[in-house]
Amino acid sequence: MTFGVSGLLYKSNVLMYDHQTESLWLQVKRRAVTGPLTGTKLKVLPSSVTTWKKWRKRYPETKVLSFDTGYSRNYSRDPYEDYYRKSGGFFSSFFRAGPGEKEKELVAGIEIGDSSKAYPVELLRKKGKLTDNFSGNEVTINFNEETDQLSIKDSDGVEIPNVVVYWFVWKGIHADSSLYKEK
Amino acid sequence: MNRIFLAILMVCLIAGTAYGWDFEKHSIPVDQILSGGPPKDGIPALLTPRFATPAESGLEPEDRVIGFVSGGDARAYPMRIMSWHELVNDEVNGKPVLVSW
Repeated sequence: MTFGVSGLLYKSNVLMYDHQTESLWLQVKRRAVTGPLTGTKLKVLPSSVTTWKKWRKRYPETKVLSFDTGYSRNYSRDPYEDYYRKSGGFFSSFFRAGPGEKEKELVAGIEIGDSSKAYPVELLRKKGKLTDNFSGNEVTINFNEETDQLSIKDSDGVEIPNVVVYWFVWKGIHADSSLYKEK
Repeated sequence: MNRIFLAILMVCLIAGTAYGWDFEKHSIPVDQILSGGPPKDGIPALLTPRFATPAESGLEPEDRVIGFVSGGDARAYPMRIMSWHELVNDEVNGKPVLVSW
């Protein structure tokens, strides 16, 4: 199965589609939400967002996606640079950040059963290690400053897949989600 | 008059959004699916990614990448490419892997 960009958004979230059935998939949920495959989930594989310097140091033999993509684009700049700097999103007008919250703060979001919670990435980076309880679940979060690797585990040591997104994007999809705050 | 025009515009926008997609089965309210601007495939996903060595990569130390490792096969996907294509349909160790940004 292969995927393409539908050009459609749901609550500021990207909808991808698969070429085979043209079902729409909600990126942040990794789940088909319309079309024949509605309800099907993709398995999340651990990845990290880091700098080239840190990645290369850790994996000197790494392969790198080539700028020779077959498309002519100006890869010398990131087209979303302005968007990263702006405080609001394209469709963030329906979202109101709570006290002390920034709508475009990057968070690591997790789901356990029907509960969900988000942790500010900068706070995790600063603290390195954090344990938290929510809805009866104990989670341990480790942030490795050297590799930018973020790992969230439950009390049995099982990895809980996390998604790093803007807070307003996460909250748009997980209306009941709370944002972790330092006590 | 303005209000009528706005209503017609809204109908066009919604109809345009639904055009061509099969929404018979759905788990989200389809009237909240909006066009993000570019048309379908207006942002071209990569289907046959090519890879370079670190020396050939042309990356700067502070460039951001998405890193993924599977069974000793490490791959870096530069953000400067991900922002233009959003999706890379890759294969790692014989298994399909979708990189999404």
